[in-house]
Amino acid sequence: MLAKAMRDTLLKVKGLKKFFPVRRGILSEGKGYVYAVDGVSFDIKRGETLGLVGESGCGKTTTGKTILRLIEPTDGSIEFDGIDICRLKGDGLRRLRSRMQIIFQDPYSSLNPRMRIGSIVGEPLDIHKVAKGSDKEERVVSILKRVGLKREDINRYPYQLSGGERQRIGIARAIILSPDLVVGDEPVSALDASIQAQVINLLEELQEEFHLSYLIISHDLSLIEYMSDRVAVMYLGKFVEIGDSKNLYISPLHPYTEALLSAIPLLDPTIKREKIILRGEPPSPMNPPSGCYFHSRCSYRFDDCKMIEPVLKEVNRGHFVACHLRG
Amino acid sequence: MILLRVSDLKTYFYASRGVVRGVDGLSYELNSGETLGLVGESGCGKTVSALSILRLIQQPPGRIIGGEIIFDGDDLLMYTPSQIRKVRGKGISMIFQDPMTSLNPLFTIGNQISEMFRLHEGLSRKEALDRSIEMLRLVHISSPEKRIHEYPHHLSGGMRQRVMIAIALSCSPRLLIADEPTTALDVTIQAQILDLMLSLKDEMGTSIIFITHDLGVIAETAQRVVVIYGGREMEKGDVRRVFKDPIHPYTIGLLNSLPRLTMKKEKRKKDEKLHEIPGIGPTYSDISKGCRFHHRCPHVMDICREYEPDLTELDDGDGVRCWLRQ
Repeated sequence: MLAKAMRDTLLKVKGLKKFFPVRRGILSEGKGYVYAVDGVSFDIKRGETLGLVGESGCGKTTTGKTILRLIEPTDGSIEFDGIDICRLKGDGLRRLRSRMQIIFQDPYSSLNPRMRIGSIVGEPLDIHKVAKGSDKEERVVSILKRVGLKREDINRYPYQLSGGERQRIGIARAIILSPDLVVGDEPVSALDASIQAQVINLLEELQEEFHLSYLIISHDLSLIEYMSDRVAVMYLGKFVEIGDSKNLYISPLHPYTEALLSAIPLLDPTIKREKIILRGEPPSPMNPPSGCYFHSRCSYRFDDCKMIEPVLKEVNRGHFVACHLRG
Repeated sequence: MILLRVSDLKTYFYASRGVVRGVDGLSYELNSGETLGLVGESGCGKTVSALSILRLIQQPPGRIIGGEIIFDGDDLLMYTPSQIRKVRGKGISMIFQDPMTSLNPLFTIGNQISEMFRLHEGLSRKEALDRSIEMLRLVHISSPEKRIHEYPHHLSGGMRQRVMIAIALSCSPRLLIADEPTTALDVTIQAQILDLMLSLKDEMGTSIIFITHDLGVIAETAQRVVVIYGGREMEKGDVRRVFKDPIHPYTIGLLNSLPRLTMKKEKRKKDEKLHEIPGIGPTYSDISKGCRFHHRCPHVMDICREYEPDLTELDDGDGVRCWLRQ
């Protein structure tokens, strides 16, 4: 039983931290840190989609990049399929990289403008020495077709493609090595609404076909609800709530999640909801407040919130919240 | 009462590779006291139509080549440059999408708001600064006496957008054009700004044209909506009707393609998918003949490929441009 549960878990992250040093001036006096990711723990099961939501600057992207070791973590452990990836170096790390991939937000800046589509999509095959020559070309063409592009497209350059087509290239490049985990960092937010649906459907089909696990990072709560099995809500470098997508959206526990959900404009003009309008703006991640990081904007705060930092507690099965009131 | 009537507006851009028809025969009207939503995807001409109203189209390459923009009884396209300068800011003002780039980084906040009062109302420096402090207080910026001496880089995105709103509303314009005013902001800040805009609108009796690609924002703020595709309106009407019973295949496709917040207990079935509008938005060279949407329309007929449909009037000033409804 335990062995099976462990096998089902693809990624296990514990106490992950990433601090970026800040230097002021050349004498580097008044040095401080941006606490971008400040102790997050979570796991992703095989075939599962974990959604990560939060506002800009809360550390979503840093979390995504750190678990792929595109950024070195300051502290914490990341276990991928039973391997502690923080200790890997050289070849071991490179081998692992083929199993975890990322799709970036901006399809305009994440493709090299001087490379043809065929080289962009085929590059992972070169790097990992998987295929070359006509074998390589066949694999590139078949993956291009799978994401909805044509054989002829291999000779085109990124500028000749629309935003949606470019994002398909980004996806093709990410899945050509049949990875286990794909991190999608705002995978559709740069696209128009009618194109977004095409890309979302494609991502879901590919997940089925290739048995992918997804970490989808987005500020769009409707998208996250649509795509995710479980959802984590991030605020100022910490998870404030994590749980099954349905439970979290129907009965949010953390006051921040409540406010986020109430702030989404609904697509029905006849519904008039009472919105929870949060005061002020998120504090700076260089100088987070004492106690609960959210207390400065929370309308339920009491004395404890300013002094004691809440930890994630399981309130219902699999539904965790870090709040003195609800935890 | 109709405050603004745009009829058959055509704004083209003359590039070396050919003519780009940014706005191509767009018509809509705005009643006074109303919030009108202009919605459409990137490149559909929403912003160009707004810039045309204020005659802010850079020329060359752009030129307004036809149509009328009747504001308060006068055709703005007939105004001389000095006449239109008087309208800008006082009669009609505009908030832009990106608050990071639309404030001047070299001048203080106070300076940039005061400019409005000095230019349009001829106030002295001191009086203008006092009024600026009042405006900042109105948009809920704390300790405005200090803020007026700060520069844009001292402020966060949400605060800068508040400053933009303060500038735009300082001379109590009759019409405010808000071009994607909350797109660059986070949802909780977006909620603050929308709340602020709507309460100020009621207080000052300003009409608003709200330009956005976010249908949720339209549903929440507008009374009427114009759906634009390829530089022209495809459907317009009461926002409740358009969201409940959309008629144009493009409007229907757009509404169905968005993931909706369901907050429902049962899990979505794996084969339940988002509706896709096939293909990509119009490239300007495509707009040759026929309906602009025919390349992507699931109901396309022979006539759609040949002739462009007129706008069919429906009840209560609603309208739709589709051969299925001719």
